[in-house]
Amino acid sequence: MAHQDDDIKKHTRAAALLSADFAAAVEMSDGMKVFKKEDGTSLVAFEGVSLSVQPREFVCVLGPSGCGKTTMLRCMAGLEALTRGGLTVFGKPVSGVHRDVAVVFQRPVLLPWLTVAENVQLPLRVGGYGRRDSGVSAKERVAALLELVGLAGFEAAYPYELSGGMQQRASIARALSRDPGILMMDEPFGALDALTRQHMNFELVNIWHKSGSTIVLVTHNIHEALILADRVVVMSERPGRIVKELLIDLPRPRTAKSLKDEPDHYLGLVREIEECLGVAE
Amino acid sequence: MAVVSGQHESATRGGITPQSDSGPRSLQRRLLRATANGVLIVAVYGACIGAWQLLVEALQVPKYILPAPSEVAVALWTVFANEGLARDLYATLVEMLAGLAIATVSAVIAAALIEEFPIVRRLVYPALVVLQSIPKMAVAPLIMIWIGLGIESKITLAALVAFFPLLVNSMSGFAGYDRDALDLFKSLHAGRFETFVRLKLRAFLPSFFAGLKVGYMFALLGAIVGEFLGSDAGLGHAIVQMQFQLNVAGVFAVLVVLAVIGFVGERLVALAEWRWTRWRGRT
Repeated sequence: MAHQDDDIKKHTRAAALLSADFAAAVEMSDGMKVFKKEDGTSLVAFEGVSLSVQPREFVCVLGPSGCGKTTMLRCMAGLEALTRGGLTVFGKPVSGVHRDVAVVFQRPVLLPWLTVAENVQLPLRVGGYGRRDSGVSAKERVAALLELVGLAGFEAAYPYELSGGMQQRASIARALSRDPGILMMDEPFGALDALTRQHMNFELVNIWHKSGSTIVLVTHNIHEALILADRVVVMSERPGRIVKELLIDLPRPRTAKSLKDEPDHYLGLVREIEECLGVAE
Repeated sequence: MAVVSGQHESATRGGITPQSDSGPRSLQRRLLRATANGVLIVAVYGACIGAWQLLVEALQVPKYILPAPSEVAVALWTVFANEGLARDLYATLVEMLAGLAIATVSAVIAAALIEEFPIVRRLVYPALVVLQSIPKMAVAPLIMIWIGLGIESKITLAALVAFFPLLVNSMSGFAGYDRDALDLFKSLHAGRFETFVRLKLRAFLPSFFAGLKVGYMFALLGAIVGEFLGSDAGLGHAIVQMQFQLNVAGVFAVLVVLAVIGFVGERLVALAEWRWTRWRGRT
């Protein structure tokens, strides 16, 4: 076992020396996930997935429903173990959720008996974090986070008093509360109406700029991916494989207007992605 | 017109701030509404009791069949003043509350173990299904034989009868947390104990209070039935004594006392429920 660890260390070291990958925030190499079903058959969620995300990069993983992209994100976040393949965070192999990773789920998953402020503070109170973080005033930190996500003044509100979009903002503030290097977001705006969704997309880009995080976001919405991403990773139907990676060189800041100012560029990217997904016709 | 504009203003504020109901004007209105409600209730039920009084007098129903409300009121005063019902009330309260406490603690612990340890669930579940299907009152004579006619047998019976609704509701309470929140706690490196206390134990409360309301009434029932079967004190004992004397008005008086116990308990649990599960919001 120790021998194997040494091998991995050597391997990572060598890889780091040979390439610029040492700086990768998250890297999955040849990842595969197989679920054993109750009837004895097995289901391959995704296979042969190698993906390297650079620090401060915004990567969107795009794919059809049920293509294993959510499972892929859960594995990258460490919520589930890979059946095969390696996972490193900032160059170090990990099992379980890395301390620098925060997850935003499809649903806000706020605890209904806590106020918004208490929900945002939750990560600072559990998992042994409270003992480390004694100096900074938690209240100021929460106020700053709520300000960042546009929920200032809602500290004392309960989740049921918020709209769906506001609840998801609160869950993003919660994810940011430990100041994680990496945010893993699983279709965070899937349940929102189209207008709120687009608004939240632009807000998320702002938050990304201000917080300096690395973000991996899973979506099946091409428009959303093009607003957000530095790079779009397109996955095939299950078992999910990466079929294409596109650098999105649309100029930032991207706005609803700026995207329409360069329709050819934008539509070209849309067409390219649609062709990968097989929905062009 | 003033009323209409006031409502409109309040509705507008309600749309902006969640806590708009605490305004003095709306408090006043709520008090007014509560008072009107109270007056209506007193009027309707007062009319029913009045009708009862009139019917019993008009039809000359014998006292040992159905006493008039006025006779029940007199009997209520008499049983407390002359027949020491306070002592019976105290005995029954001690029995039911002791039984309820035992049932609550053991049901919550059992439900927590069943939730946390699958092996416990697999072992205990068949026994629960079988025990559930036995009418607990049918076991009462056996308990009298084993434990005797003292207060202990009433406490046991109250606890036994209250245990099952508490257990079933506690189990569904512990299972009622948001499954996605498990992933959240996992991603925050929260331990099993932390997850239990901060997630499952909080999500458990609404269902638990539903069980506590039923358990409270069942504990009272268990204590009374225990007293029927043999005792020298308690409200059940008092009912049996008055039955022997054909003191039907006295029986009604004790029933009034039992109804008050039930009502006060229900309100107390509802108050605790409101205090601890306010986060569920208004429905």
